[in-house]
Amino acid sequence: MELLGYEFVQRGILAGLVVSVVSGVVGVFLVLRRLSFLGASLSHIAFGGVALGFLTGTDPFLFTLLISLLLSNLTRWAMGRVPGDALLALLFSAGASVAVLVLGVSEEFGEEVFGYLFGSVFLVSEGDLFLILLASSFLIGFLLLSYKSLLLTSFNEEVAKVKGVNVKLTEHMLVSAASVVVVLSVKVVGVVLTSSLIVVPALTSLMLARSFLGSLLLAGTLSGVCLLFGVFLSLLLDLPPSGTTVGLSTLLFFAVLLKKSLR
Amino acid sequence: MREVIRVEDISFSYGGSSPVLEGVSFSVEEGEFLCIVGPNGAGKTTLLRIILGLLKPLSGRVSVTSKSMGYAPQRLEVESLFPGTVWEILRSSGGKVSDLVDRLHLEGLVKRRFTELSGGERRKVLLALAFSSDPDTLLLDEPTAGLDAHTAKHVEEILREVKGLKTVLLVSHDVRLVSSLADRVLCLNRRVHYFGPPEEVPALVEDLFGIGGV
Repeated sequence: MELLGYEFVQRGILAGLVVSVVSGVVGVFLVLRRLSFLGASLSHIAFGGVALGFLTGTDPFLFTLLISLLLSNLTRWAMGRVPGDALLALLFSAGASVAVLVLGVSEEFGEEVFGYLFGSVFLVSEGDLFLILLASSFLIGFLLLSYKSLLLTSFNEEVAKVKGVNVKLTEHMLVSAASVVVVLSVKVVGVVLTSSLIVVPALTSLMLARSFLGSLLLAGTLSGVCLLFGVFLSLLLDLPPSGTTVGLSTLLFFAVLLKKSLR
Repeated sequence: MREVIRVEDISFSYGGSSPVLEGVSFSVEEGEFLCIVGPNGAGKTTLLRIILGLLKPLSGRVSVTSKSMGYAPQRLEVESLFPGTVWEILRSSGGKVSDLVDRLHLEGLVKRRFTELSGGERRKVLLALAFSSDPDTLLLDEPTAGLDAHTAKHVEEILREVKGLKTVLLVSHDVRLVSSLADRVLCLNRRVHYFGPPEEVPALVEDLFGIGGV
């Protein structure tokens, strides 16, 4: 546990905690809007974006953020015209194929790009932490400002429209928020586990919460607690923190599901 | 009286199938209580959804000058995991929640998740949603269907209270309710079969659609 005294560990825990809480909260809206798979697709787009960022010599974080924002909004726009699940599956494969192609062209940064596959809170730099705190502040601001619109849109799109909510704009803002969350999460838990960090605590909270606000607070709390326990477990047992975090979160989901099913 | 809704020669069909509405025209004046009657599948709900801007007519024109509209749909699809309580939904939709709760007797429902409510309870909440933020015009799709006699009577009293104060478009199969509340009645079965005062409605509905109401 003396590792907890190291700055990189403290920084990693802070970054992981912030990202997991925000991911959990945004996840609630994505699950309710049936956009759960968006996280998985965007994380693979982020993987391709990271690879392209390294190839072109641009900041992989910012490059990935821009690509994810662009593609998630294009996807949302196209969803009324093409089946949404098919479109998300397409994005999933497209992102992975870009990463594979880039790695095939140049092997010089292969190790760095593969690092993004599984991520680690202990790899978060000071610059990353600053971006994570900044982006998370914007996300929380957006959620607070759009709370009523997001609640009504999650309840029923048509009711929201009649009540004067700009549903299209709200949904574009939501997928943009999801893009930011994914890019932040990729750094912390990696491409493979990002969607779990977003969806699993949200799903667990939706089964337990007695109110909308309660589900958001519970999702953030469960996600943060799993991250903390996951990191401590990884330090104790010398395991990858991303795996222990998502593993704990998934176990908790199945425990709640079992308890609910036995009632 | 100022005209607040004008529907001009609108037609509509879902995905190129046979038309649900054909050449429908009528207008509604401010403060008017218009009842829309017709058999199942006559296009009544579709007509309301077009007026609300939720559907676009294939041809024709709809102009609405009413400042705000409240809508109580016949039924509502809500994701089963949606955790919002009745209080949270009403609060987000604007207006003073406590007034709505008192007016529609929702005291026992406000803390419950919407998805846990029965069909009749949901209907009461949807009616409250229509009234929230105090709109000028109300579009109510069979608001008394599926309610117990006591609640249905209460809803009828509320409708009597708003008559003349708000513009109301009420879809109903209840000929007694229609005859007692309507200023004008629109008999619809894909096309407009009658648009006028309610006195002739009972016989007309029986003749045209073979329904006698409740």
